[in-house]
Amino acid sequence: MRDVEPNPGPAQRRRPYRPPGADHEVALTLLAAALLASPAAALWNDPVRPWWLLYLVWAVLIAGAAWLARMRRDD
Amino acid sequence: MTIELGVLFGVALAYLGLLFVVAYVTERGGWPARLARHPAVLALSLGVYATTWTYYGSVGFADRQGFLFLTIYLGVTLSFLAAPLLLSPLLRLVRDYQLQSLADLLAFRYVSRYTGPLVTLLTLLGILPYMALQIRAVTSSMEVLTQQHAPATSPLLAAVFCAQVTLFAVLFGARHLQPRAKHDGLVMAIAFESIVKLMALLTASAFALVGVFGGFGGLEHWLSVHPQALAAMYAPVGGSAWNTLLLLSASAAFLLPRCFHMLFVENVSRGGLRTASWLYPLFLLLLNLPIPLILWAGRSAGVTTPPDYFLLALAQRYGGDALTLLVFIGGISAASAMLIVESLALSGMCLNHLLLPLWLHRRRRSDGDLYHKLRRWRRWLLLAVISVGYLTYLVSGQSQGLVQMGLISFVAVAQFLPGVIALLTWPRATGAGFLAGASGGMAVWFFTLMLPLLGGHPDLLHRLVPAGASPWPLPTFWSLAINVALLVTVSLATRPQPRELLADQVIRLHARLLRERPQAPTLAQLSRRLTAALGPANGARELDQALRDCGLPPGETHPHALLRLEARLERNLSGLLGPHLARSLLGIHTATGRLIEDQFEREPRRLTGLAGELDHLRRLHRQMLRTLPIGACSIAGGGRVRLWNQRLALLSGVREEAALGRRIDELPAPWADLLDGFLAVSDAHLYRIELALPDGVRWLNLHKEAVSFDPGDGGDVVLIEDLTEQRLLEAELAHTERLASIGTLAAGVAHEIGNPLTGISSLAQNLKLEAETEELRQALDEILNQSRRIQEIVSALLSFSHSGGGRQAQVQRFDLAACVRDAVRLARLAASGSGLQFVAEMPDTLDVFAERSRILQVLVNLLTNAADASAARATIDVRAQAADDGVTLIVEDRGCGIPEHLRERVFEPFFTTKSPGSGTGLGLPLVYSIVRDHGGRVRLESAPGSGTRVEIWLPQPAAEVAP
Repeated sequence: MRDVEPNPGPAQRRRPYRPPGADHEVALTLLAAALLASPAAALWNDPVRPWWLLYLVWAVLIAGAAWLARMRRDD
Repeated sequence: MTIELGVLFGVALAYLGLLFVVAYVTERGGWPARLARHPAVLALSLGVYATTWTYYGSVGFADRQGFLFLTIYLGVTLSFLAAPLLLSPLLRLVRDYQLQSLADLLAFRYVSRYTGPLVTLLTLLGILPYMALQIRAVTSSMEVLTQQHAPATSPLLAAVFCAQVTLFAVLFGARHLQPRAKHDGLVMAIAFESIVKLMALLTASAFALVGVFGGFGGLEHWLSVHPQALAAMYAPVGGSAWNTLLLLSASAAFLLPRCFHMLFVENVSRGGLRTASWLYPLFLLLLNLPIPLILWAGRSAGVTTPPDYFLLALAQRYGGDALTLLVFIGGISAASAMLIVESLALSGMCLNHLLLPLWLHRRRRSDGDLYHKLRRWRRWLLLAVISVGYLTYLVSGQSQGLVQMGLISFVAVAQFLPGVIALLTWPRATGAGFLAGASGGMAVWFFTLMLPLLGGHPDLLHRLVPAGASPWPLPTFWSLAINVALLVTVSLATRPQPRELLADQVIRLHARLLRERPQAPTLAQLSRRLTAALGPANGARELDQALRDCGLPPGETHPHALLRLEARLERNLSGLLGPHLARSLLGIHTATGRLIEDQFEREPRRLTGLAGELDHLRRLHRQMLRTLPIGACSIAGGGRVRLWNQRLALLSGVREEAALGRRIDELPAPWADLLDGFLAVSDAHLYRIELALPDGVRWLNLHKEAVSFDPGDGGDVVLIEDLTEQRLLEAELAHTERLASIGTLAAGVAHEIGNPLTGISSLAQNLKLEAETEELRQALDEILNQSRRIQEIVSALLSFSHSGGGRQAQVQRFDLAACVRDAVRLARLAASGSGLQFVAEMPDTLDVFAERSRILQVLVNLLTNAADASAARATIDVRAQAADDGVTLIVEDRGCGIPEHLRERVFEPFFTTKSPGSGTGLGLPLVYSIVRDHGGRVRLESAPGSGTRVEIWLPQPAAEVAP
């Protein structure tokens, strides 16, 4: 009969809390965006497109993953 | 410029020796545990995904397929973006059930004796050729550097490399007796290898960039002059190949044995997956950033080696020996990390699903230490797996490139993806469905990808795939389509076994329990409730005050903090509105903190094995606490009730669900003060505490003990012993004993006084007849009056002594209504002249079983007492009625009443409130004795000035209770 909500601790207290389920919604949204964005960038038919464009999209995805990880409280 | 083979061999040995040192220092605690288990170390160790395929082969892949090579890493990023959906549930499952491999995971859900062996065999089939290719990459890199084509010493060098890798895996990957133990040294060494790979690649590409192009400006210029180079990178992108490779790499990111091992089995760092979900893709991005540069630099410099080894060639040309050796070491690092972790994962699967089932099946007796035996077998299996990889290297040709072989293994492990997805999402999936799906998918994989590799039907794939098209989408689509179709069809055609249903429920419950948290209101909800009750201004003021009190920011969202805020609001409002109104205003109806308990109670029997036994034990303990025949409650450190058992609920009238989660100062009176006061005092025991409750006074013993469970999770357990029954029994016993002794005394006294009194009365009567003077006759009359008075007392004493012996009443059936009427008539006679009104209310006939004469005696005594207490012309009510299981007699007057301090004594013999000479003090004790002899009860209610009400209940046989 212990309280199942653990003490969040100072490190976690600094992060805004996202209720359960929000992780999944955000992950799905990011995933959908990623699936759309990376082929779109690859198929962007512009003669002056920079070679590092896909890397930029990738970096944005990683930033999204980092942001999502910051939202999460456990793994 | 060439490098001697001996030098390369020496450098490779030295590097592997350094790897030993890193692992050994870690195992010996050379680094702080915080560093060894840092989430970044886990993220870097996942770099084992990047083998020589990435290190050497990506340039060749980019040369042939342009930016398609990035899909192999973008897919991994997608998998880690989906970590909350996909990886976190798997990690929890693997951790909590100590699963050691993908075969364990699938066998846990798809309960069949064939699941584990099938997954193990299919994985071996898919991975072993890829392991062979890693060995080839090492020897090929040596060939490039020494510029010797297939030197005769290559097999020997490969054998030495394999031996050293095996030694490392045995020493640092299978060193613990307990298979569950984690290998910090191994993880640190693999993370170190990832850093080496990255540094080597970045350094070499920087040298190539500067050496070939003179910097980024030169590169841009070269690209503008050679636009076809960039166009060639973009041209293959799009179509089905892009999506296929994304899917394959996304599944390989966690299904490849080495990735599964590092991600789930060796992952012990807290928050490791969270960090890895971005740091690991970042590592892959950095690893792949130089690939186009190396390709273009190689093309620009006119390097003649195959594109797979442009990196080595460029390092040789522009970096000198040191850089060349660094790049070579990077390749060794990529190959050795893959071989070590892959062989560890495969040997574990072989041990659990191939060797142990056979051993357990054939075992005749228990011999030796099982743990030592397991470790020995694991080491032999490691040697066997790497040896088979080496043999595959020896017999396989040179036809397949790094990328092609890697992708073949990706398609192989992707055949487990439908099973894993179904494991997480589809309860209806069965073991038969999984086996059929995986077998069907692997059959397609074998015929379309593996058979051409083995040389059986080299044209098969070319016949299926149009010329110039990517060879991967078709085999991937058909193998997965058949896999999914069989999984679904066979699952629907077969019934899930009970054990499969159980495993599915465990997975589902497990995921939900760890995801859910106690419900806390949001700030907006609290604000709405306050505004609705107090108005906007007051509501906002109360909320601000509570936030200030708790030291919380206005945008607080953590449920723990919000629960604290809610409690604070409740406390603040309790002072304003009272606790009940405060709770209802805030909408607090349920206790928090019992989610898991409640969840398990609602969905019992979901756990098996040790977890089931522990759950059973937990239920038993909980039930014991709840049904203890003594009141028990547990108070948490914060003063909240977390246990309130049934006995205490019965005693206090406070239901369990109403008490749980409340602070003790919110409990109804007098329990709040009682518990609060008891917890405040230093005494661990308080005896015979008198507590006034609505249904009467109760006497309690209180005991308490501090409970310390986890740091910060202390509290007190309080036992409340109800002594009321015991106390009443003691009082009854004392009263009975007193009556008995008085009865004995009375009988003796009556006898001793009665005889001389008879003599005195006779003599006085005679003397009165002979008396001559009026004065003498008056004196003799007075003697006779006093003698009669004494006679009455003696009669009462005798009557009391006879009734006080506890004798059984001689019951007979009679009409109580008639008996009451007789008693009223006698009482009227005694009270004649006082003008008292006796009002009898009862049915015309009321048959009862009792001793008529004694009941008449009871009634006369009660009516006489009532008459004595009443003023002239007052009314005395007598009522008799049938009750549920007996008969109730009520005598009620409106007289002077009995003061509270005397009320308990009126049943004591010789105690009377009447004036001296008016009463014997034996009337009510007699009533009490007679009623008790009938098994009944007497209840007396009195208020000074308002009158007295005596209620007598007499038990009756069930059939006789009728009006």
